[in-house]
Amino acid sequence: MRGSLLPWAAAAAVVCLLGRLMALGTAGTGEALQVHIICFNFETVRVTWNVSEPSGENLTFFYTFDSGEAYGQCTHYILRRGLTAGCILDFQDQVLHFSIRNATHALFTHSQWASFYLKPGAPRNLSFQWQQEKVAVTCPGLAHGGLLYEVQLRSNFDAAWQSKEEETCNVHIEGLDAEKCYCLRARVKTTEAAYGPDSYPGDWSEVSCWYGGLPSDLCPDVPISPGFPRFILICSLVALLTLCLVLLSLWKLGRVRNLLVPTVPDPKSSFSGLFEQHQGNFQEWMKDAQNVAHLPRTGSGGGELDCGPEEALVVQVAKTATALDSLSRSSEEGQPPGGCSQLFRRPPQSGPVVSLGGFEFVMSDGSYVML
Amino acid sequence: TFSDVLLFVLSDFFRKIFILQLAGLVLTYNFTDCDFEKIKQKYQKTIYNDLKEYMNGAKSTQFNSTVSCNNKSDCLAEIERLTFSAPRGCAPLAREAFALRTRATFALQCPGYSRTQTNNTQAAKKTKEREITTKKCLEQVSQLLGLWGRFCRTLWKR
Repeated sequence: MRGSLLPWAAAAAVVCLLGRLMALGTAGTGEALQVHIICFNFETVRVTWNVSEPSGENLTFFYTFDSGEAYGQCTHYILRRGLTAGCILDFQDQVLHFSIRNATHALFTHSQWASFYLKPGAPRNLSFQWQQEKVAVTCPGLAHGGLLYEVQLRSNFDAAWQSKEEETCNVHIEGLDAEKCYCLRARVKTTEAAYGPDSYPGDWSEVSCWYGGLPSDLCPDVPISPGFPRFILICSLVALLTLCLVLLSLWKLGRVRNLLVPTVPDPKSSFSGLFEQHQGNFQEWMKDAQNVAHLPRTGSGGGELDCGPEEALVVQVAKTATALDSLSRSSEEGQPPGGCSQLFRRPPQSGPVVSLGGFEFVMSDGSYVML
Repeated sequence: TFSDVLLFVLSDFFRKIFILQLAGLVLTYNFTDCDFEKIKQKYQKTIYNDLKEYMNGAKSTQFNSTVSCNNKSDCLAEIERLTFSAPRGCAPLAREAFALRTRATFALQCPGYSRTQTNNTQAAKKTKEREITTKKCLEQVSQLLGLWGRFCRTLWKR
């Protein structure tokens, strides 16, 4: 009797098993379906699908969190171009059994822990307690284990964020500088041991900046870090020095050019003191030269005075012709011409007197000296 | 008579059922008194790596999860059942690294656990050598990963 019961029990089990398979359906062949699951912050689960060859028909989504209960249809579909493309359902930390079906059969069936697709939300109500060189970042943690609360901070001297993680939303960071401005942000991360390999890191909170323990709108721009490369500094100095040398050589080159190809003759050598003492005023120079170059009263050995080469001087006098006539008449009367200085001993009547080669000339406005 | 025979058979049947159920109660450990936090830490640090190594690159999410649990004790009970059971198509996993560490962790963190496992330990010694990892074995271990994850999520600090 006992042995006859076993075949009946086996037959009943097979029937039940087949029924369950028919209810669940099997993965369809011929219609590739890409399914994407994401669980938002333990609140909602979004299941979306993408048909590689759209047939234009609406697919239906059936699911349950209890393997012992029958599947129920989705009540909140996501539509794309008028056709169902996903479903949003409430989260439960249980195995999600679901099936995506068309009018005739199930195209996709799967069962998996909904938490394995978790994406935590950004931490809310962050609070910061500053104590000189430390800060404690706290927030209401999520009521689920296996999470990490990450806080990142960066000062205006740091190029990258520094991270610290704790298992609770109570992260203490020490070793800070009270004189620096710090910006902080936080997020929730999942551990693979508790949430599997397909979960997502949470979103970052808003960045909060602090200076001296007080909130600041933002930290100043990141200045050049103290560790400014010495190489760049040296290169800058070398470049500056090179530029100076180039400019110096260009200036020197100009002097060399002027030396080789002078554009204007330099009269300094011919008239000593004309520019240095008289600033180019030739008439003043002439006065000075007259005072300096005096004629000796007795020549050496009673010889005739050297009045200079007459052929080098051309003196043209316009208004003093009568003086010359009288001078020539007096010389014809027998007065010896001895000494140039004797010929022009008459005091000047008007204007300056120019003495050249022993001769003295009274200069007027209309007279000039050409050399 | 036929009714006497039926009564005899059924009573014998139900008596055996009762005995088996009783034996199950005796051999099943109650995990309510365990140090769950330390078990969780041990899992995160060592047992998880052993399970991942056994999976050898296969993702647990590619298999259907068919076993679930609700609370800490329930999860540990399911973990123990799957770790030391021998499903069809897969040799017993009791000699695997993750199983040995699981047993040691339970023995250390659950008062009285080791005494209930004496007979089971003797039975494990008689098992065959590890066979080639089959898909069934990977599916079994993926169930364990799901249960352990659920166990971790039930433990959170305020």
